[in-house]
Amino acid sequence: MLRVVINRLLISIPVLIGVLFIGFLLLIVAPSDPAAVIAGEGATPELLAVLRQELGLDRPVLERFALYLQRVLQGDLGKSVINKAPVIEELSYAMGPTFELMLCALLVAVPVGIALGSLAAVMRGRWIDRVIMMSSVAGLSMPGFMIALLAIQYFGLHWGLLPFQGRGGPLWTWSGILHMVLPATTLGSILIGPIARMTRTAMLEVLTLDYIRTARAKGLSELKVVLKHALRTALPPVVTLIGLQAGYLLGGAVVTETIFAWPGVGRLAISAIASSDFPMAQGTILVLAVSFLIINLMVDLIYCWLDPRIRL
Amino acid sequence: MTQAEANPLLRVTRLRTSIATDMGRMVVISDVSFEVGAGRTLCIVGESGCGKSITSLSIMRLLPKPQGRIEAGHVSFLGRDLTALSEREMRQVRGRDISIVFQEPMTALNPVFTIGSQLTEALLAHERCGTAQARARALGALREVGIPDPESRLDAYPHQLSGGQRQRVVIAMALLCRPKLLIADEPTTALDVTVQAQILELFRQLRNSHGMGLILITHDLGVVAEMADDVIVMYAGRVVEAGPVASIFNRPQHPYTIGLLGSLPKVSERQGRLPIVPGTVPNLMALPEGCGFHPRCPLAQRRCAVDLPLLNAVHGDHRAACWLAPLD
Repeated sequence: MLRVVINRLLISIPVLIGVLFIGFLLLIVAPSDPAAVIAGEGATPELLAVLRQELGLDRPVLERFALYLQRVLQGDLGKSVINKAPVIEELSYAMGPTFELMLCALLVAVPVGIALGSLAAVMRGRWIDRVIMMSSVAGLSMPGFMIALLAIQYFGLHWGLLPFQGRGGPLWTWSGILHMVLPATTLGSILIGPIARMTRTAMLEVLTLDYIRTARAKGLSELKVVLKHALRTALPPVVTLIGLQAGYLLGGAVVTETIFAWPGVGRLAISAIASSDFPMAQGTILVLAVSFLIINLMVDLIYCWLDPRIRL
Repeated sequence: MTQAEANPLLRVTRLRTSIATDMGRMVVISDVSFEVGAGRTLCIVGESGCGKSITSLSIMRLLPKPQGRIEAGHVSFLGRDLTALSEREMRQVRGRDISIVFQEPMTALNPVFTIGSQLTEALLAHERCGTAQARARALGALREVGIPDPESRLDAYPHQLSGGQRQRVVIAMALLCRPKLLIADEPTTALDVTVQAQILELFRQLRNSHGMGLILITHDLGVVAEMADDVIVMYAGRVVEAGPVASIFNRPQHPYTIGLLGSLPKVSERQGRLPIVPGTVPNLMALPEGCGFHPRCPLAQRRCAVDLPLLNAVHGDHRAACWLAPLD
């Protein structure tokens, strides 16, 4: 188990460097000039030249990347071009709400998706199976922002049931929970469809296997056969899928945070890109990449726990 | 009439089972009847696909769902009709009163649970006992089937065991609750000869000490000769011959049985080639008219292609479904 963790962590290092490099490049090829942004409108060419030198923008790309990498390793992500605050500080405020949101989204999506998929598999071919599969296609086809806007329209404005603007405080407060409901279900709903479909497929395959028949022959209840013997062996592909979909979850978090005015990394990223605040944008990319790696490390560990045959 | 005959452990009466396929519903066994008394062994023999396994799945009501269906007939266990029980009542019979050993040892155990947990689970489903006690009994069961180093095996996963060991675990699992009837589908095919002898000896002991009834599905006629009290021979989903083992071996009546026995190598005679039953098992979707065996039968007559012969008494309890019987 420990070997798996160490292996995965070692593999993550080149991935992280790659991510940093791409984030770095994106902002170089972007059309806007950070020096011009800082100097403001009507700056003289002399001032721009001085600023560029100060920011190190006149050096070769690789050298700039090396310097950047060195600073990142020391925990220095630079300062925001806009408000001069250290990026790492801004990120540390935003990271909590984002992880909280993603965790709650997973807490919605994973149990609901697995339950619906299992139900559809056991009820294969009956109307309930068809309803679940049809609505999962509908959920798959609907973009996340659409769901968010509909949720705001009805649950927020029309019926006035739930707040839909910003974070209401920590999750252990009532207001915190209420404010979490709409963003988390919106973000989670992106994953329910794929999880339900994958669970159903994996479950249908497992239910025909010999050891399921053995479990029934022991006299176990159908509930125990399905929830213990079938689900446990049907889960690995579902867990893999969740890892693969983590990218969508992060992308969805950017959209969801923007729509619900959630003070997280996603919203920070959008505003940083919109205002050409390149150190901040690079910082948010780094955080999102690290969370992707963490999710996938967790997926691998869960995978090992689920299937003893791949434990090392 | 002896007492065992008056009140048998299991009485299967005119059982007919069908399976839904892509080409429509197919009757896979029909008109299957037999009895197993307490402490008796019934062997079911026949080629692959003749309906032996479907018969055992029908008794346990473990036919693949939703394709499999019992169309007609009764399965009476100690006077209770199993086909009429609710699923909940049937669950209490499975694993406690009637156990089954399937023939695929490599896939019969769940790969993600330890041997110990799969064994104790069978016990805890039917009996109230503590975890420690259940573990002790699981250990005893592993010892009984001759698994080496059973203590460490309890915490092992199926993939850490060999095929033969897994098969013995499956057998241990089936015997854990001391069932009144054990259905064993090719239980010893995966085992080497010494282990096979050990398992058969265990079956024999349980039969004698607990009065366990045994249905042994096999195509090893050596095992039949050694274990059986009664034999039924199945062909294309029907019983073609049934009777006490000695009578079947000494005076086989159905040409198919004669063919099967003829394929058995004998130590006393040196034969060049083993005789075979020519032809192949018919497709159940397109069974021939009349007797299912007539296209392969060396003695077939015109009548065999038209009318289906039913089981008729030949002598005593020995019955055969052939127009030519008795063949004396």
